[in-house]
Formats: sequence, structure tokens, C-alpha cells
Amino acid sequence: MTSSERLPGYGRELPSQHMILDSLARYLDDEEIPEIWEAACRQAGVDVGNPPTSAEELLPLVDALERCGDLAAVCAKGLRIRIMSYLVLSRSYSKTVSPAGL
Amino acid sequence: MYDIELMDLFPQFMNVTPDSAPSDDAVAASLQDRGRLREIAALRLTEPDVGRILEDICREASKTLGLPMGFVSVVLDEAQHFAAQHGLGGWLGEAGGTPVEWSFCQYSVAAKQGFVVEDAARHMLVQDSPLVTQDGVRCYAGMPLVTTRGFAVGTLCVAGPDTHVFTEADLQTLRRYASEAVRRIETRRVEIAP
Repeated sequence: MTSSERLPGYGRELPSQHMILDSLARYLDDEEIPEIWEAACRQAGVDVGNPPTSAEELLPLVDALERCGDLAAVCAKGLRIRIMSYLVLSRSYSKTVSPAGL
Repeated sequence: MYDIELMDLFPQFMNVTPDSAPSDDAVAASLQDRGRLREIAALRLTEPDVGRILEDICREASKTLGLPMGFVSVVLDEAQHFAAQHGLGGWLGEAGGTPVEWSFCQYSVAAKQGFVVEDAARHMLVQDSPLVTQDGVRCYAGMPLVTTRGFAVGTLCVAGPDTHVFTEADLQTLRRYASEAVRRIETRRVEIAP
């Protein structure tokens, strides 16, 4: 499943780094975001200049954000559930769809 | 008579029409209120031990109201988190929640009122939710969990796969369970205070 596809029936798009940053921007000051983001990337072992592109790789990032506490933590928990919903549902979907020709 | 009493209890949502339905923006603004989210953070409602103190209430609510699912949903800005649950299986149990726009509980939290859905397939606020169209949820009743500081942080609710008529007694029972859930959450607030 590519990033432009949606989960049939659920309409979920692949979670992205932009989704996380947009969510943080709602609650944190502009100057706080790079600091928290870089700290989360470091904790998650992610290269700040080369952010993850898969949902699985985003999970350690939101887990690191959750450890920041306060609004960042609440925000991260919501994002974690959105990513998990995508992962669990896409796994179920791929099990029910046979590759073409089989 | 019976319908009138229910509408009196839940005037906003029992008979939702296009004119009376809350706008998505109004609901989102309530859910994204910083004070409300800070209350959730202060109460640490997304930590795993919350389930331990609330699971028996979910089980009792499910059993007493005769519906297969009972749960405490902490409604965040982007998702609902199942802090405690009874009878939630499949992907819902594995994901631990859903995107908030799919949730029924968002309406109860946004309005700080009970939200009752007797036939989800015919209720304009939730009929398009994948929880209805894909997962088969058909009935729901939820009561908001309002803390002593006045913030609605989530709901205590029951749900099932068939249409269901909720009596006034059912709703009073659910309200009592919600009060007990808040009491336990507030007690825990004191216990975890630094």
C-alpha cells in the first residue's frame, strides 16, 4: 500500500511526519517545536534531516514525544493511536486482499 | 411520553437535524481546548494503571445494561484512548483507541452531556463512522466524565451491534457508573500528586 492510498472503508491515509508537526504546532510555541522535535528524534534514534517515512518508524518518535509530558505527551498519545489504527487496519486489509493472479 | 423525556435529557443529540447538529469545528474546538488537555495530562489518564482501577466499572456497566461492550474512553484531540474496557476485541483492542473523528464519545465530551444512539445507521452524527459502516456498532450510550475542575476528559459508555432502546433507568445507571469513575480518577489524582 502506498502513501497515497487509503484504507478501503476507513479512509485512513498513511501517517506522516507532517501530521505530527501539525499537531505539535497547535499547542506549542513556534520556538519550542524544533527543540522538542530534535530531542524526540535523538531519543528515537532518528536522523533529524532524514525523517522516517513509514508508520512503523514514526512510532518511536511519538513514544519519545510522549515522554516529554504535558501537552506534548497528550498530543503524542493521540498520534500513537492514529498510527496504530492505521497499522492494525492495513495489516488486516492486506491479509484479506490476495495478490493479483493468485 | 417516553421519547419526550429522553429528548429532555439530551436535547442536543436525541433528534439531531442538519440545523441542530454541532459543527465539526465547534466539536474540534472543544476537544482541542488546552485546559481540557492539560487536565488529561495532569491526571495521567493515558497511563496503563488507569485500566486497573476502572475495568470493573466497564464490566459492570456492560453487564447491567445488557450490552457486549463497556469502556472508558479518554477523548484526546486526535484520538480516543480506551483507558479501560470490557468486550472490545479485534483491531479496536489492539490499537487501543480510534481516530477521534470516528468516535461517538467526542460528542458527549464536547457538549458535556450524555450522548445516546439507539440506531447508529440512522443517526446523522455517526452513521458514516467506520465504527458503524465497517465494524458494526449499532447502539451507544455514553456519559461524560467531568472532573471537579469542570473539564470533560472522556466518557463511560456502552455499545452493541444491534439497535437498542435505552430506558431512563439505564441512563441513570450509566450516570452513576460515570460518577464512580470520576471519583476513582480524582482519588488517584491525589495519590499520584508530587
